Amino acid sequence: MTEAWLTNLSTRGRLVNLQFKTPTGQCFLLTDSFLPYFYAQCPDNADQVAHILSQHPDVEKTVVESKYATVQSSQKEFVVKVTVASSKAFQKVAADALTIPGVKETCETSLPIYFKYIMDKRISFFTRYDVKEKNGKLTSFESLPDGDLPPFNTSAIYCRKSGKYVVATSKSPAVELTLAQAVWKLKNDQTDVLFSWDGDDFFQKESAYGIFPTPNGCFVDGCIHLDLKIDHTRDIYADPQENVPNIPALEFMMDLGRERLSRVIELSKITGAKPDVVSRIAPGRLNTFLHAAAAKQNDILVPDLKKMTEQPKSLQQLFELDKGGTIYYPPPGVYHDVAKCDFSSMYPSIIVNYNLSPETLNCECCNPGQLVPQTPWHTCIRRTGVIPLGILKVLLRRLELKHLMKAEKDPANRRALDVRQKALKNILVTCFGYLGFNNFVFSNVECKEAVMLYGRHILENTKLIAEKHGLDVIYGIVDSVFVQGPPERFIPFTLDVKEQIGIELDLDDTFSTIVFPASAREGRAANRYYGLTTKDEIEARGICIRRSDSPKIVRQFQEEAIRTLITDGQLFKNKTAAFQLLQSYFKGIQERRYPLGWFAITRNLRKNPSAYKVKVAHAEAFKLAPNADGIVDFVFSVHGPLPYKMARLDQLDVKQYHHLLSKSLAELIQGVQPLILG
Amino acid sequence: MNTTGLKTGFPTLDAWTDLSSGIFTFQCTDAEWMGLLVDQMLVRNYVEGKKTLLLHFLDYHERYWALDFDFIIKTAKNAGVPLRPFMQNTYVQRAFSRDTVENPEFWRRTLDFSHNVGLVILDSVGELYTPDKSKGPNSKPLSYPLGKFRQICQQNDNCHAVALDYSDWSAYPFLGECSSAIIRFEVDLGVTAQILKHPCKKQENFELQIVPQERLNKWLA
Repeated sequence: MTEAWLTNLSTRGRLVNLQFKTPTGQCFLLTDSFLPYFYAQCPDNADQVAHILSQHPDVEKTVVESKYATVQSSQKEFVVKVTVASSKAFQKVAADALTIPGVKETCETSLPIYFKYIMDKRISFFTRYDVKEKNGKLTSFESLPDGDLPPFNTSAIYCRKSGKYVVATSKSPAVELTLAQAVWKLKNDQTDVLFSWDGDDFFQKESAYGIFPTPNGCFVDGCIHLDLKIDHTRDIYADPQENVPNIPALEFMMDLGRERLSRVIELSKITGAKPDVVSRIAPGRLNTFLHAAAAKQNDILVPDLKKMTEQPKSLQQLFELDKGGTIYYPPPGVYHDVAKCDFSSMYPSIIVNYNLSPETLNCECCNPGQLVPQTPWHTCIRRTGVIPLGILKVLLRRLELKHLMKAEKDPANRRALDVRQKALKNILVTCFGYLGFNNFVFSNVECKEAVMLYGRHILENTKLIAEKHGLDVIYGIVDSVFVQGPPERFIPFTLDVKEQIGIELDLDDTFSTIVFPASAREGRAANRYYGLTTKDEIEARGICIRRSDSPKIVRQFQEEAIRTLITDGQLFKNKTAAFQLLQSYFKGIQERRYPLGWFAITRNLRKNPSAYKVKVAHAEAFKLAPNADGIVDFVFSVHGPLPYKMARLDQLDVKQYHHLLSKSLAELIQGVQPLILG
Repeated sequence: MNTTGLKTGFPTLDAWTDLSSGIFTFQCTDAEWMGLLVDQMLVRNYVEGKKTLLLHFLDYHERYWALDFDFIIKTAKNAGVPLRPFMQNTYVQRAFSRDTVENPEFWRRTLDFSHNVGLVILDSVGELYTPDKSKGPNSKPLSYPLGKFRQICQQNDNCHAVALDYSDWSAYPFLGECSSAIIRFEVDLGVTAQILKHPCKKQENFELQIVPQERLNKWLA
């Protein structure tokens, strides 16, 4: 018996290779036999179909089972589980099965074989097991309580233009090698995880020495390969690309890799997707793994194709239902003692709390069930749906990590926990959108509409609760509210909301002063504010300081202008000082006191520069220095927009930058009337 | 069977759509004009006790903005149509993706629902085309969904039906064959209509008079 962690898995022929790692860091491989299978839906003649398919030369065996044939079935029916003799013949057998009379469709042909193994054996990656083996074959395993993961041996690699590889491992420094030598070194140093930058690209042309290029990425025999460039791109909460050099140094890759690895481990463990795969697929796609696992847990077959169609709806219904979240637009003005409160994963929590899933919405088994307000719909009160079941464990795990994070004093550990909880947030933020994604087999438009409906109700109820606590709701948008009032009432308010509504409302920030300027058309604007928190930090939305295409001179000025305007909370008294600041910046630009880099504007080209119907500055600059990325850094010069590398400080278009600075000040005070509320 | 013609809200055009039944194919590359026509037809052909069905097949990401509720409600009020019954009896069936229109289950549900229908509008024919790249081995020809569209009309006593075609190609042969009338619109400084097929009129062009408050935004800009 050996205590070990399951770290990876691969299938080859009739075998599954399981990679384990002991607490002392030793790795070992065990094999298990497993054959791929799919299901054939044939409720009327399952026995006959099973018999016919058992005669197929590539079929190992057939078994008649009782399953929910579709996600909406209220009763189980007979289906045939077809185990195929080899993965090569799998698709052919599935296609042949469809030709048999009585077979309505096949299911689970597109689920990865390793995933089926994981589900059938009820195991998960990066979990501790008591493993028994005989002659290298797995005989049994039992799960053990979780603990700290063993240390992983990591290596980093990149490819030089010469075609040589530079490799560093945790046991030896960087050295330039051929591919064969590099792979030997990785094995020799017992690499568990290999970090590369663009490895899926430079390994594509290799298919020897244990490198396996596939359309989904390049995999390395014996270790987990993380292409950090791709993993970084897939992560919507990753640090901006500007912080990562074009080809990072190996030490940087090792540090970044270890951080990204913790994210990959968290996602792999909870979804059942292999660690190599996790970093190469979109976060939304991880939902498929999550919900397929929940479906199998509930004995529901995972369909190959999406079949659910939207119900016809009257204009009246569409008008009432088919809309997004509630927005309470803020009256433009200056406010003091304001709290920003956010619901924690509101939409996923709604899905779980109200049991919203394709098979639970308007189920046949409940009458009346739980009524969905404002609709003729109801949800099931007897069984938990596939979607809530899948999301619940992610929600709970994320809450657990967030609480650990709040209690953690060490900044490095806090950051590590933050990376992991954000990894799970990636899944949660996509699970709602995925409900309306036509390629997701469990998507359902009515479920999505019900989620948004509950979301609107929740925000309206939150407003009522705030008013009961003597707080004014100044601004609310979908899942967050800004309330104003005596600060001692903020926490009781959030706790009361949690108790009454059942979803955590976090007190995100408190502002000593916050300003909501008007929109350009002098109306109320959502997502446009700036303020000083009680920790004296600036928080802002929708103004230059937050826009990625604002040049540094503008962001710098606006930050100073914000502090000038509201440090003492007296915006209107400080307007003159803000204008004086503007003048000093004008003078500074005229006198060329700021470095050229402060004037550079970065924009992405969304189409061919010649496709723009009107002349736009970044397109004109791009024409002078085109590049493959479609990103242009440019400066306004007296000769027109120039790429940054071609621009000179003495040729700066001073008027243009004066205009940008003036605009940035104007947007801070736009429509803000001298009526201080609070 | 209807005894009145299809009303479009434009008297000049109504003269050409004054057929008691049948499929009308409207061709035009200008989406704004077609949208205006759809909104007018939804309102003007409302009959108490009858459903109107809009087969609203368009990209899922455009769904929120594709129906101009404000304009529809305003038009209904101006036309003196009782608002609540109109909104409750005008139905929209949306296809989730181009795959949906090849799904027999989708059409079974739509046909089950489509009883007592006075007008059905298909928006649009182009959305029924599955791009070649994504065609699977079981992909159905265009005549399959068009046939289902025709079936909806037939099971409702050959009610009025309108198929919108945004392409500048000739009408798909099957649709051309099924259609009682085919009218092509050109939108420039005004709207010109060309009769390509009509049971009672010869092929000709005519100009549509547009009422000032129904000018297209592009003309106002």
